[in-house]
Amino acid sequence: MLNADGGSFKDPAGRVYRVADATGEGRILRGLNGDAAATLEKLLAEPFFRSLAAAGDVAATTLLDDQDSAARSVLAEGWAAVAEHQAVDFLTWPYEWPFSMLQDAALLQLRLLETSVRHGWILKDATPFNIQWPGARPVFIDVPSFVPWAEGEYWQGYRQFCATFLTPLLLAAHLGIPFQPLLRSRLEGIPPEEAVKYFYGLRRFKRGVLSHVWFPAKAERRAQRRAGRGRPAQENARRRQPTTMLLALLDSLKRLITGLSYGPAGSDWARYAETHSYPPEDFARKQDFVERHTAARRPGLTWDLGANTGAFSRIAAQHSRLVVAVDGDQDAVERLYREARDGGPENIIPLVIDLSNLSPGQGWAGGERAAFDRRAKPDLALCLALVHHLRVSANIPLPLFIGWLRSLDAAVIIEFVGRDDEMFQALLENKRENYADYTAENFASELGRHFAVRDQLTLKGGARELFMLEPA
Amino acid sequence: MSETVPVILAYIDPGSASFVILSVLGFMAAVGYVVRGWLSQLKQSIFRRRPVASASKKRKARPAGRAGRAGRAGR
Repeated sequence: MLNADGGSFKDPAGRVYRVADATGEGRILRGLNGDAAATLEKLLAEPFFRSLAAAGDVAATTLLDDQDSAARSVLAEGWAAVAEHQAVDFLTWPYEWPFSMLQDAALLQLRLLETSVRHGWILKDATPFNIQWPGARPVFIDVPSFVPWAEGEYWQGYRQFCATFLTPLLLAAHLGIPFQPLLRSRLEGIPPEEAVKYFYGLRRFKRGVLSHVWFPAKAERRAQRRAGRGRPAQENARRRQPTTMLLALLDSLKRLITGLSYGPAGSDWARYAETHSYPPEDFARKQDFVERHTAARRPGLTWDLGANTGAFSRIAAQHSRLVVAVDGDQDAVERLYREARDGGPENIIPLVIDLSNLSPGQGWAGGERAAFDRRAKPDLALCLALVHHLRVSANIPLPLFIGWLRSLDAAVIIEFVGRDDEMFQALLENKRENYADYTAENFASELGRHFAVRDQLTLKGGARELFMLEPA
Repeated sequence: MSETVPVILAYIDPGSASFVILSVLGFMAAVGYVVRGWLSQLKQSIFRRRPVASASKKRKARPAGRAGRAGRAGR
């Protein structure tokens, strides 16, 4: 079965296809035209590229033999050659990453660019969509972005780099403005003329803003005023710039981005591990329940919905190939990423997503960047201490949420926080509505419509209930 | 007239100013790079000069060839 990737149509030199092999595992193949195939063959022979692939910075890539059955199906689409790339289990988009993930992705992009330039190659574009996360470490996946570089050719991806990497990081680091909602609505990033409006007055003197936001905005504005009298972009592409200047600019960008920091503000969520309402013995029983059932199932892909700082993601990661840990709290997810990156486990991808407003299908016809729940089906979903938030804080009725969970077609470990629990009472404090439908009976009845209960555990003297579910 | 302005702007590649921007920023970065290099060399030479000076004083008082090692061992 050959599926063209919805986000790979922009480069006319090739197209990405997902192919399921005999074992059901997904293979990532790329059809290439003649020129792109010749360039890729040359690139794959370059020692610098082999080193990058061996280090895991770039997706491992090979040109396939025409006899490969999957390659033949791609060739039948009219391509001259077929390459196979290292598969990534779960695709994520930059508007779902916490600050440090975008920062690390930007540093990887600059490192690859610098290495390429030193070896006579360049990356023709600079978008974080070309970077993915097999775990808590970024990998560059768009190998055909590497193109031969003529000495002195200027870096055409600079504007895109600023719009999609640098400006979002500057907004978060200098002004505390979360970049995720901005990048979600503008897939091409934040252009300088828009970014400059955030950095008004003395804000323009913050580090990196004058050079990479204010000055480009002014220069572009001037170019627009001179409409028709300036040099066309194609002529600009032929102009030359000393290599030393490009390398110095890359070095200064690297130092600028490394120096940016986003400090978690110490939200209640980010301190969940110390502040949750469980007595120690009940918390241990909850951990044991999750461990026992994940160990028994050994899921390929686990989603931890409402993961917080990942106490249960870590347990699931011991028995899953990959855990996608999702939470709406920036600080909690930031903390989880830093911990997973610096000390493991490496098979966790932490994402900032509001569960009452999941990432939708984006881009052309809504298919370029797939919706969160349309990318890959999980084998197991954890929903621990989540349902009461969705019901009370987000006003999502139980039947809607349980029905959506069933649509995943996955096993589920879910926790019901009863009305007597102090955390539920805390949520009700500022609400006029009583949420009378939120009862243990209604919850159990709704589960019964969609799932079979395989195991159950009562915690906190009956205030909470854990369920191990399988689709009915 | 006002209706035609957005149409014209839509045909202008916003990246057409990129070469100028990169030339200016690249030049500034290169100057910064060179200055940092000088500063680093200056720091190194100052840092190096002190131990070299002290070692040379000790060398005068000790037999040749063993001065350096003996000097370090004595610190």
